[in-house]
Amino acid sequence: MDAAHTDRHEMSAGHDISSGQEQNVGNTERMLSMAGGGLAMLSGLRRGGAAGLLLSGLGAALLYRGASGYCPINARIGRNTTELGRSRRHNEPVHLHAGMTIDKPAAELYQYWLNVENMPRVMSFLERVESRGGDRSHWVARLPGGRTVEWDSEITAKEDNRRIAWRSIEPSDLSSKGEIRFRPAPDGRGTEVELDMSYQPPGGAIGSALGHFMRGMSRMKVQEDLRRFKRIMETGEVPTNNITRSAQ
Amino acid sequence: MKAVCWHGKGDVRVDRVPDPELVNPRDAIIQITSTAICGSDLHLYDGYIPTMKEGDILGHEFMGEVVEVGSEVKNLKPGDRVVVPFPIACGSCYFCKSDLWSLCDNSNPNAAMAEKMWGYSPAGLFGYSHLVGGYAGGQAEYVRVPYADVGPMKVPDHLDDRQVLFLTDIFPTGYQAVEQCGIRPGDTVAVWGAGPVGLFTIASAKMLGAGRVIAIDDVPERLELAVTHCGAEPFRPGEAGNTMHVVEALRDMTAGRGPDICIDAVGLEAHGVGLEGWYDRVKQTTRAETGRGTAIRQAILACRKGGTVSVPGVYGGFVDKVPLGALMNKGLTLKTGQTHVHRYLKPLLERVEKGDIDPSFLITHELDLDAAPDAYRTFRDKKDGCIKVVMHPGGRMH
Repeated sequence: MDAAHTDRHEMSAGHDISSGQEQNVGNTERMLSMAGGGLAMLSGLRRGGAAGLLLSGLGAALLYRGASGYCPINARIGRNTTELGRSRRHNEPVHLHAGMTIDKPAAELYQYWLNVENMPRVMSFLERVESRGGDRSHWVARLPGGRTVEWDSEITAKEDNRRIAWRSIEPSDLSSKGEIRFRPAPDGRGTEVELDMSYQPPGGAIGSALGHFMRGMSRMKVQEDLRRFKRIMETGEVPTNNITRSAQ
Repeated sequence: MKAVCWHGKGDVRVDRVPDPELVNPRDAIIQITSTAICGSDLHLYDGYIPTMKEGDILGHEFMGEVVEVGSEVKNLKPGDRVVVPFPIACGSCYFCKSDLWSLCDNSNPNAAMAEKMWGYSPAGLFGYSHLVGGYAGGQAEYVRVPYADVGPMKVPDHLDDRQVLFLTDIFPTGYQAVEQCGIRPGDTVAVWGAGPVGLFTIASAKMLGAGRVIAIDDVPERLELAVTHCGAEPFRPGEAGNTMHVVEALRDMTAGRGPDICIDAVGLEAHGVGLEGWYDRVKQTTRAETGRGTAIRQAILACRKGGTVSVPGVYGGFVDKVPLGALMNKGLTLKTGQTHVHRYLKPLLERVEKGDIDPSFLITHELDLDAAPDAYRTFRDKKDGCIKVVMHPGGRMH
């Protein structure tokens, strides 16, 4: 079986159907959109006729905008009112956080994560990771369009079965650091896992392939990586709806 | 292979598609001998479940013969005859280990999508939209079964396909609908919908000690089967009138108490009457509401104080005007969920073997897979006395 291959297909298949567009409407604006959209739709339905239909259509679109957090007009004009959008505009570091409860002992999860060569199975954007001895390693990620970006990384903290931290080593195309924490879940439900990642977008690289890659990093992708970790640990495989190996 | 594929609202076709292969180590490939159309497939057929894609293979009630197993599947071998639960469950997450198989944490590849809609993702299901996994279903000659070391159960040769096929969904679904209410001997159970799930609900209520079971449906042949085969008392809501009339009639039938347990075996396409029916139809058509809620509203309003409402009927999104005031002030308990089929396979097989029930009683149509497009139409329109359609791909069955 080609596990990495399978995952990749899954990600893209999941992407088009969930209308996987990244959110670009901030929370306050989402609530306003939903409230206004709901009102417009109701009064449009009540009014009836062509004008009512138009109003209810507009209301439905606003309602969807609010519910999904995605606005096609924002996307067209490059407007993004989410937290993430704001930090990107100002070239601030992007912080991403995700949590997952995994029904395995912390020691098992800690050992798997410590072996960096396991990471391409967990993180969908990685091509490969090579251990360079000690706590150093070399990472290769795929960019959209088939190009790759490479960097070196070192582990900066290891606390047995509790915490691992790492960061990229200068000079590097990509400045990143991350930390994963493990603690026992209540009532024997396994381990609570928290993952924090931060990326510093490259200065002046907006529009480059790397800038594009950085902007593609979202909380949802980190959450999905952590979910893949959970599934590998709990079931030994990553679920897929493919019916053939070659259809990928 | 041949497979029944969804092409849009009211449009299913038998297409030629690639044969499935082992993809993951815990997979098995099953050659299907019998596969049924479920009432919940009609929600897909009628276009009420979002995230269907053109070409999706339908079907979640199926059984057959193992032809190939992955390297991690040690409990099955080619030639084994198995039934396959419709929820896909990994067997090793917190939920599977807690006997809550339809809530498996790991089997939905599109969990993120379900989380957007429902907060958290339930298990993946065969042939039931991308929201619950986008898995190819079993209305086909072959199917790929993930976690085959956990789901499929071998069935004994002396029982034919008709007797064990419904262990995959509708028998356990009806059984769970009653069992999860904590039924006590002598309880009165009212069941909205005498379709296949409703009939198994009624039969299960009797098996589990109900005093009286009231079957609520307007389709004559279904109501008749509920009465003659399952021992229910008939109730025709169309004759009673609107929701308040139905509630009053049920109160009269129970000497002013109301049924102890009310079960909605209808789901999101309930047929409302009068203003309520039109309200739901308009809102559902404009997508302002994704389900028509007549059955669940009546179940809540009719239920006795302190009673239990159970919902095996399928809902996808939102329903309006659910009487939460009645639910709260009468102190009702609400029990719901996709069926934890894995939990019921063995005990219900034992009941079939002992002769407590012969699940084949509701089959009205047995056809080849090629007849699927017509069969969907007949089943939806409740024509030709149609209650349950079973298809035998290739005309073979045990």
